[in-house]
Amino acid sequence: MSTVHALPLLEQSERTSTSYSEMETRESWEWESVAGGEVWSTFEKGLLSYLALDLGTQGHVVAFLRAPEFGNVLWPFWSTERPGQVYRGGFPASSTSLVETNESVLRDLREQGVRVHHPGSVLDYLTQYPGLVDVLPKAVAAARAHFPEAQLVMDLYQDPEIEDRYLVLYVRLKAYDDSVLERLEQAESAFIHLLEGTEGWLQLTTDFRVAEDKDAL
Amino acid sequence: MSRRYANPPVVEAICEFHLPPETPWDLTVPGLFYERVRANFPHRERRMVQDFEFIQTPQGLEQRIHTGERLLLFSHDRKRLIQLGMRLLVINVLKPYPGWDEFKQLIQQAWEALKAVVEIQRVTRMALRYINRVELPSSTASLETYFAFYPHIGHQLPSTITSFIMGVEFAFTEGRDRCHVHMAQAADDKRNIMLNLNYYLAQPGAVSLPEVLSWMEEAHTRVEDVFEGCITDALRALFEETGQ
Repeated sequence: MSTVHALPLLEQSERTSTSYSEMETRESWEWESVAGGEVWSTFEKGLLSYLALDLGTQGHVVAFLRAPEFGNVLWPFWSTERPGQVYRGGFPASSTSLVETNESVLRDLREQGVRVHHPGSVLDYLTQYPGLVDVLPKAVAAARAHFPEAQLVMDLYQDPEIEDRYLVLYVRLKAYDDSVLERLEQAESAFIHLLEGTEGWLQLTTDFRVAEDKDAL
Repeated sequence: MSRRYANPPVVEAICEFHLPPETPWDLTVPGLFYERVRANFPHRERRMVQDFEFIQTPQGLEQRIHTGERLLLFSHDRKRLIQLGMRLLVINVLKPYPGWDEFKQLIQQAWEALKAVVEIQRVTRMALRYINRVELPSSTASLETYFAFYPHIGHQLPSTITSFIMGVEFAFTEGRDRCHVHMAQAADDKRNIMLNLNYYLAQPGAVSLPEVLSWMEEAHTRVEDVFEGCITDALRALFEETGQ
């Protein structure tokens, strides 16, 4: 992480509260300069000040909040890795934009090592069925828990003969044994109840293809 | 007069109304609202959302996390939706963008439906947002060829860029309104550029209730102007301009 050379002084506001969700949509802050791999600016009239910092080696920008009352701890609340979402410790507030939310989901999947095939089609499906956004992280976590050695691949299945399509999370292994189907059922049971009452579908399965060396353990 | 394109880049347009804390709101509001729009938005879904809030108390700064429910109402084809949260109304239209006239009608319908079930005194914030996905011919396409709004990279900086993000905010109407323009690479394909425009009311309550919809009209005109100011004729050619 780049070094923080100076923090802006906190401006005491007349307001008594400020919410992350308001900041998210208000976007009343600006990038002031980009120089030497560091970007920073201050939040306007907020109870808190913020600092936007370029994490040069990781190739993205993260904005932090600072509160003197909390010993000047810096909280990350926004990142170019998750544009349109405000978060703290990976705990996202909800954007009003479906497209921005799904872009963020796609980045999250990739950060977690999930390969996404036909990302444009996956994004379109998530935009049509946004309720799946809440299910996806739990499905990936369940797959990881039961198949820690697997390569995970996300794709959109489209039946060539009938109007049927849904998201598929494939588990790919270097070798398959008799326990695979049972483990799939166990993993699925961790999230399938979340699909009740949700439009769209997410299927955890395997295509029995051998995991490629790059990602598989 | 606005320009028209056969292949417009809009993937989502969003209109937001934020109401002040004193606006009466209870558990009956979503149901009453739904009854008024269900003919065009019959599909109901719910999502849990989290908001964070810092509150100054005599004991110091308190951090609060609110978990609330947001109602999502979809049209028959799921290309339009209304989101209703606590003192929040959002109208979204997805690609293919139906055009301002139709979007404006949806905004008006939703706004009137909310006014019919909630006593609204004022609006703290409004926003009209356009999210554009621009598909460039190649990942090495020069941004300055297609955009009049792009990051300038000095000659002493490395030439290999793995990602970028840029944002500028413009003031309108003596600071009452602002337009935030945001540019970044898309998550699905680095050839795709996300160009997001967010025109919003920066001064809470500065627009009276009867002027809300005319403010939206004004916002749309400004957003169009800013958008056209961000692009070049080369990009207009990619969008296949069909006239004005």
